[in-house]
Amino acid sequence: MASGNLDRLVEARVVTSADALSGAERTVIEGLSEEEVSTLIGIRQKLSDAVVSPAASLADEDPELDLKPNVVL
Amino acid sequence: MSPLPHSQILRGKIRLVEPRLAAVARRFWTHPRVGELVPEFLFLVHSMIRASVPMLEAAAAAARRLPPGDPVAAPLADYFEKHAREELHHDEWLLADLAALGRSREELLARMPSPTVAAGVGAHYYWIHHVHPAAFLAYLAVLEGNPPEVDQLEDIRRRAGLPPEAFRTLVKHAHLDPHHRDDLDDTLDALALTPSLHALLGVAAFHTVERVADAMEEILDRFEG
Repeated sequence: MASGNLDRLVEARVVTSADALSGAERTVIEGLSEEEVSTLIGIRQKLSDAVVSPAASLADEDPELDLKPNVVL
Repeated sequence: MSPLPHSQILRGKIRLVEPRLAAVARRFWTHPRVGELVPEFLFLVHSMIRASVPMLEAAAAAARRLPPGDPVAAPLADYFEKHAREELHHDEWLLADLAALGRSREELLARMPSPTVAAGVGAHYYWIHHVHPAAFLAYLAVLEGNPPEVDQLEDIRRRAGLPPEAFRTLVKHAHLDPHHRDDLDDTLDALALTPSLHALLGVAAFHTVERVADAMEEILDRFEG
């Protein structure tokens, strides 16, 4: 298990708050590899606040945001 | 090892980047020119879906070539071969839907797909052939993991002012993809995935989300620029 993943993702604003995460979400994040953490941070850094509001993060669940439909197979 | 099923781990990772795609999708589907965006979206989907069966066949063949003793080889190959049969002709469905919007088959097949699509799809060819074919499960998990809903598609269709014939493939996927998603999750959960394969799946899923979002943004930019 990679230690410090959660701290790094919170610092990079991939995750807004560690407190809001479920146990399963923590398990997923703590199990991320270095490559995965770097990729997530890279994606977050490319997002402007016009796309994701300053209060939001990649991990926020915003009921106003609707994923569907995206590309389907 | 994590106590979570493999499918939950992958879905949990995808959830970390879902807002990236959701923000673009919201801009896209609420756009005042959505009637003009839909044919471009269908072309984008066709650009990707035309590669589905060839990639599934490539992934199956690569899985069959894995070293003897790789515990995921046989179940992976079986899954990819089965799913290739399920995905047959979906590209033709889309061409028929686009024909209902006055777009000819010749025009669509002659048109250059976005390099972003090539980057998104092409990365999976690389992973299949040069890393491990399991990576392609992440592509499928992203693209079949959030199927559209029929009511939502009908709302978009009305706002777009387009005929139902243009939405036939999307509606079919609203019905098919929940089953494909469940099959994929069952397959994932039965595989003996190593930590390195989990990492590959995560990176491949993040890449797929990013490229799909980029491709939809490219369309939006053309209508907003």
